[in-house]
Amino acid sequence: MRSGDRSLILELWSLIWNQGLVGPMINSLVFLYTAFFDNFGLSIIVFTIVARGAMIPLTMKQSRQMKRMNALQPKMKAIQAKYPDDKQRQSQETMKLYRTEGVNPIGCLGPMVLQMPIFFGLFWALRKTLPSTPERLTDLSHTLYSWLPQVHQAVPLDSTFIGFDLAKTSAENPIPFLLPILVGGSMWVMQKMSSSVASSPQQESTQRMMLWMFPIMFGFFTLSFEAGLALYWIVSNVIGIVVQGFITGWGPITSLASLRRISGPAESQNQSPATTQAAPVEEVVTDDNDRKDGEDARRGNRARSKRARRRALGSRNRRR
Amino acid sequence: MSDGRLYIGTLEGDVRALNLETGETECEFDLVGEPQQSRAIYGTPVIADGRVFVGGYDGILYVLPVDCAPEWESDEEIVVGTGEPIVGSPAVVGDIVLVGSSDGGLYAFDIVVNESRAALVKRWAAPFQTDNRVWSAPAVADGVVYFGSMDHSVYAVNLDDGTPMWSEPFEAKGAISAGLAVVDGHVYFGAFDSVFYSIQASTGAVNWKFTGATGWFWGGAVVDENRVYAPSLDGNLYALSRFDGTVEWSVETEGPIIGSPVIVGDRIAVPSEDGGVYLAKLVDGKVDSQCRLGDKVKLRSSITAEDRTLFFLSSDHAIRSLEIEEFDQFWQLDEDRPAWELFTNNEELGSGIWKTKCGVGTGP
Repeated sequence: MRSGDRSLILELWSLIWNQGLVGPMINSLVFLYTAFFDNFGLSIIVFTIVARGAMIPLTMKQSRQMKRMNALQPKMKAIQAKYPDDKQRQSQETMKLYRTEGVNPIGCLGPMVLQMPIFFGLFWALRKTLPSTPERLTDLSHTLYSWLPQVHQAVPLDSTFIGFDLAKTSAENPIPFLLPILVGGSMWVMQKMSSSVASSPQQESTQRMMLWMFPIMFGFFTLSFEAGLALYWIVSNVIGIVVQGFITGWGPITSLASLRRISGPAESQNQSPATTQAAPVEEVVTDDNDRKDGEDARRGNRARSKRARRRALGSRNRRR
Repeated sequence: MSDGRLYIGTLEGDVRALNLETGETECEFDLVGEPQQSRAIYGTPVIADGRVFVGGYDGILYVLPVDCAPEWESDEEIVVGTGEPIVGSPAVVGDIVLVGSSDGGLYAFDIVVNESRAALVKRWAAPFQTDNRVWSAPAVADGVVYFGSMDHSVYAVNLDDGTPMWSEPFEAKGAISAGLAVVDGHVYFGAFDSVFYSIQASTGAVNWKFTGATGWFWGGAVVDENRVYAPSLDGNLYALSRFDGTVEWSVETEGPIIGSPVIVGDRIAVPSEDGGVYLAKLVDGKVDSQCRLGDKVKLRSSITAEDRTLFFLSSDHAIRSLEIEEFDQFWQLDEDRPAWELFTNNEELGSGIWKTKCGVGTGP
């Protein structure tokens, strides 16, 4: 590639990035600031809700895909059992299974991929909207739309929100570890809610590592990033948890609350036909509740309720 | 400038006294505030009564003797208010120094000299408090201090006791970062609402407004007998009639104008972020010449002039000196006395004096 072409591509990329993503984000944030009582924290929260709201169709699609993938686990295990020493055949059969069942494994990544530019764009947008030095403030003036006079009049923005300075890093704010803990904690719950069923012990171990690695990593990053970005992460994760909960059920959260008391060993030995499809899956991932899909959990709960009613009925019958 | 030296403050957080002839650093003082990143100087050092007054981004006001010594030490270092950054230049009137702070206050100190060392003592019982950062350099006329605040207001305060002089501050629709110009009972300033204002110094009532700009007014305006020269971030220098605010002419550059221009004889030198210094005739705004510093060099500082030599800082960490050889000719460099550049902290070039030739101007 010639250097001229390369610089043209770079310029084009810079134009798309700045004018197409970061610029609109900055103007939206400042506009929301003026609309929500000159409060930048509320501006970030509303912005996050709108951004995540726009992605809900994709998120739902992702969750449904994941659910269908989970439902295919018994069949996939059967393929693995059928061709234990032929990896190529395994993958061919798996792909065939995906095709016949109408599942697209890459479809699960859609919202995640789409979120990445928003995340990085917001990172820059926050830095530019809450400039820390005079020269950065002059840079901001070129980014604000001339046809939106109120955004110019709003500058400089008040960056304080419930005791935090959103322009400063978490480490520079009071209670430095609060935001990293909230970011890491909310991310852990969200990951737990959305994790798929593992098809092999290796995958299970990878998932278990990811479940802890990302929250710890992002929590650590939060220490050195602006608190405004941490607020975005927290709100975004909470929205993700709520959306996931409505689509696939609250199983992982309720199981977190009551741990293993609900699913005792007696009941798991005595499963109804309704739960048999999920049973092999649970066998693979049995040692705790990490991998249990929300739908399976709800189904399990319904089945348990039925069994409980039957038992109650049975005991009354015996008494009679 | 004083006694053949140019005193500058850099974004690296050092004050330097440079020899005006050679550009050599005669003495250097490093700011002391913590953290180190906070050590930057945005305002222009002010020289008065044998001392240099510098406000640091570390929130400290420094007083240094103008005389260089091998160990250039400050007479006084005082944390202003809550120690929030100081951005605007201080102002010195007699034995009083005034400075604005990012904590929203305007502070006044008496300069007390004991055994040739200067100390600062609070003059007002409390600072004059505004609702946002004070980055505007205070201007003093007839015992009244005028300054703008990021809270969109311009204030007039009694120099003696810090009490307000107007019944209400003047309110613009945008923040005010620039220093105000006070001439003949009129106050001139621009704001982030892209409006340039002239108001009465005695009452704060509006004389006129100029609404033709499309960018913020950041740098301070320069005033002469008939016109106000207002630099805007929209890339234009507007020459406005002092009496009614009409545009007499404007100079268009290719980048925002952040620093203040300077009048040199019958020309005005305009610094632009596009990396050019433009020289325009005062009478009609015609640009005689422009000096380009290179595609990657940005000019964000104000220009200072002595005789026919201009001095300014640029984004490549250089301090440049340019001489105007002939007003009716291009920019020229005197071979016997070449313009110099001093790189304060350039990784590629290191520190030192670099003789340079400015790009040839476009000419008339």
